[in-house]
Amino acid sequence: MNEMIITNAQYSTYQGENITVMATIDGVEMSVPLDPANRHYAEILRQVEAGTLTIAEAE
Amino acid sequence: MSKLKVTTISDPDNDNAALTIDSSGNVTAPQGFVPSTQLSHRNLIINGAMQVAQRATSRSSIGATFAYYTADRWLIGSAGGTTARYDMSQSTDAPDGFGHSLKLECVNADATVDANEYQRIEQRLEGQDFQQLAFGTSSAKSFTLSFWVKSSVTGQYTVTFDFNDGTTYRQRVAQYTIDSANTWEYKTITIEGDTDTSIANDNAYRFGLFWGLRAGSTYNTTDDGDVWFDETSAKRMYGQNAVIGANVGETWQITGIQLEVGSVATPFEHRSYAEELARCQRYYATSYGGYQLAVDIQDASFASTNFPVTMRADPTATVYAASNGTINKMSRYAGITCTVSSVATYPNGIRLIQHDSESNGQSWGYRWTADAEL
Repeated sequence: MNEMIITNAQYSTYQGENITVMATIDGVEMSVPLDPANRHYAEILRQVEAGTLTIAEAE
Repeated sequence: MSKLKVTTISDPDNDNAALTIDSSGNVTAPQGFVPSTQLSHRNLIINGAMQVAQRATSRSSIGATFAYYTADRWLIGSAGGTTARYDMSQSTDAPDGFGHSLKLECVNADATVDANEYQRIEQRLEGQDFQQLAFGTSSAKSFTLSFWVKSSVTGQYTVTFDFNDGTTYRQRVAQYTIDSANTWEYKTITIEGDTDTSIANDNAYRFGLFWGLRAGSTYNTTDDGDVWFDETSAKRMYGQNAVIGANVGETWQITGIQLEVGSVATPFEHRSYAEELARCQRYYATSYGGYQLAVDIQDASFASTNFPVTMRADPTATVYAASNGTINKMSRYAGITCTVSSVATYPNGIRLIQHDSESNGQSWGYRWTADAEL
């Protein structure tokens, strides 16, 4: 699916390792695990692949 | 019509009583009973009676996208830019024997169905729970869908079944008719098994079904021939002539949904709320109105929460302050909040970390939701 509206995507780290993508999805801020079986992460990957979304590096 | 009156049926070899019938018509099988289909756990649908609604019992003006809003596991899907919107609720209007239905009521009308529009209500299921259908083999089994439906709009509607093996996506469309407006009607649909393609055996979305609410000509114009077909847009909702959302106030409701192996619709398999909740929590869970505490240790609090059941996959999490609901915060008394700097999720729980410069030993309250839907 699903034509989610995803903005403000940014990696979150723990001890220097990316563990989630923080993103606003359909208006709600969420922590998305880097699990391809997760529907939100799958959609993030799809939009990145399509060139419509960029994930910022962690601060 | 003929009638046979007996009190005992015995086997022909040893004259053991196989069935006895008492004067009230009660039947007993003294030697045991071996059913050809399972007697329990027949229903492959989750929350078919709309008992569980963890997110909310009602939501206003929905229908712009694909999302879960009220009754667990039931997704509304919308495409093509229709402006039809609905109030969705876990309604107490239901057929006898049911406590709830899923109800849509149009609050913003879109009278014209453009070619590329559709809206639908659907459930997505894991492939590992559908291996018993034996699709992709010569032993592929038929299944039967039964449900109660009610609408203010009469006419022909569709239910579409879909499955995949990860490469090939197959679909099958069935039509049903709502004959009388605003009246609960019981529908059954039996579909033959597909010997062509298997259902992948994993935890991903491999089997689904959706009820059409409205469909444009891109989706409902080519006759599917009442057979399984490789996913084809023009066949996807063939026969969906009824249109929900053309006028404000139109309604569509459904409950008592059962999908079972075999060609006969058996009575709905009622499950307890606790059983149904646990099934739903594999896909969505929340701390509800309660909250949990994290204790700050040397300017870094580490909190963990175990989920009530193991979730389907690593879930998406939203964490928010216990005191005021601010997302990605934890809170103390008087509205003091700190930022959650990291959230890690696993199928069995959440781990939170925050690094604000608060004094050691402070405790912070937080709530959470976890989403591993398909």
